[in-house]
Amino acid sequence: MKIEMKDHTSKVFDGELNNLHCLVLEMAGLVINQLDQSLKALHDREPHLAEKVILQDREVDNHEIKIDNAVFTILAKRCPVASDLRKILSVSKMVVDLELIGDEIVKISKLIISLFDNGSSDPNPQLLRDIVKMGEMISNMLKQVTQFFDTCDLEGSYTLLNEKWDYCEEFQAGIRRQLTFVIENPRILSRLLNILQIMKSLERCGDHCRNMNEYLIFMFEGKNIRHQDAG
Amino acid sequence: MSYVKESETSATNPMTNQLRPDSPSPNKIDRESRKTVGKLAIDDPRIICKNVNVFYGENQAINDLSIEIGNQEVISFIGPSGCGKSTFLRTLNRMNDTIVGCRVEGEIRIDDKNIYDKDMDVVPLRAMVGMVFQKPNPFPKSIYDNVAYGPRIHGLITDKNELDALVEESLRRAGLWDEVKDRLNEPGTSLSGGQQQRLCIARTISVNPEVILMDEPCSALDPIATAKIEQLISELSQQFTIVIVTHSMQQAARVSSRTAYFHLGYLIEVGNTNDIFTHPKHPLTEDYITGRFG
Repeated sequence: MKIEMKDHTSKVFDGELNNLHCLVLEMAGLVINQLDQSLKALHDREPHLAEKVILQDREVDNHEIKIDNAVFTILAKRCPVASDLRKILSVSKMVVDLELIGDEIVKISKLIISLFDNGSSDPNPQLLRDIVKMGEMISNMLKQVTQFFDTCDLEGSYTLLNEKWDYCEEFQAGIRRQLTFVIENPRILSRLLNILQIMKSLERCGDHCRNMNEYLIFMFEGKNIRHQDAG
Repeated sequence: MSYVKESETSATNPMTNQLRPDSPSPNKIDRESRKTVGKLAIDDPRIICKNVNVFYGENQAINDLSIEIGNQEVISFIGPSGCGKSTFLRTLNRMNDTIVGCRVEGEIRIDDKNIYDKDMDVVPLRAMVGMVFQKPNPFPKSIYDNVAYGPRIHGLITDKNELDALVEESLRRAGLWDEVKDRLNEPGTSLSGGQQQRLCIARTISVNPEVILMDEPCSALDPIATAKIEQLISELSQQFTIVIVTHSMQQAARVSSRTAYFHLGYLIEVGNTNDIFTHPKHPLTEDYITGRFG
């Protein structure tokens, strides 16, 4: 179910909202690219690529500031209500999650660089398999949320909300597998800790995606489905 | 052993209890539907309108409108020009009687009495249901006489001291006393626009009405005078039922507890102001308040 809205009588306001919309898409695109590049760095054993990902974070931060300014200006000038207000509030919350995903990816990239440090031996591909699998799940989830935002797809948001969260189970199973490896070969303990940190960061990214999806439902429908057991 | 907090796993999280979109969602109500959305009945009604139709000659200005207005409630009517909100407001104290060719059908009960009954005297009705207009319209008399006029002609008070006290009380309740107490004999028209409007409100409340109708009371005022009138509305709502027609949606959002949206003579949606301005149900309401009209 796609939600369709008429244009505003004020085309200038439409332009301001479209600008905000595009900024969010750009920022999401940057974060998706960061995540995909960091996974590629891991898969291809390319620490240089991870360094580029870290540098890209500045662009993500700049977008957060731009979006904050746009939100601030629209609120001050337009006094939006109803669906416009919900969109603006949701966007201002979603960018926080996007920025935090960017920060987690920076952490992941730093860990990737230390994994492929010159002084250490090449990590076991089996150890990396879990991360890449989990990372791809998160990347897909982020792409889906971005698409739902772009196309105002309420049904899609609900479908994603009600889906099983494979990445949580993957995280749990991954930890078990890594523990089995370390029992077999205790010398990989320090590397295992790095991998666990990467997995934890990816899990956090998944949680942020989920938050963003919940804000989308609020934006489309005005229904706050977060913290169902609260208050 | 679980390495993930139990509340975060998909099997136990309440979020997995298959949440579904609300029904009806905003998009499920047809944009062309003219059936009123929202709760028309209220727990403690002061005014009950049933199937009200208003005609100007052949033209129907209000179509089959039903609504209840609560005791000590501030309700605002919003909608584009020509939607019938002012017409409906004027039916509440029979001001439309003065318009040639205007015909009202249906029932409007105030305190269980149909105000369109043949035996209804409109003079006490208009004292009971006072009105404040868009442009301040003080009488060409002194500030004192503007307020004292109503109680005098309705014969409410004859004693000079009592009248003085009533004038002071009315001006105080209208938030004007401190500004005019030293010049009560000056003409009402010598006051500023905002003060004149508050004088008109003082004049309205001096006859102790039950309902106050306000037809765009701030549209001719600056933001400071507007803020004073809005503050006054919130204070008066402790005692009176207030119905306000406004073109300023922000004003409707600020002052009223319920909001009704009119469109081309139909009451489209009525509901709590908080709900109307955050997630209205009817697409026409959404279009209007978000500026997507036309």
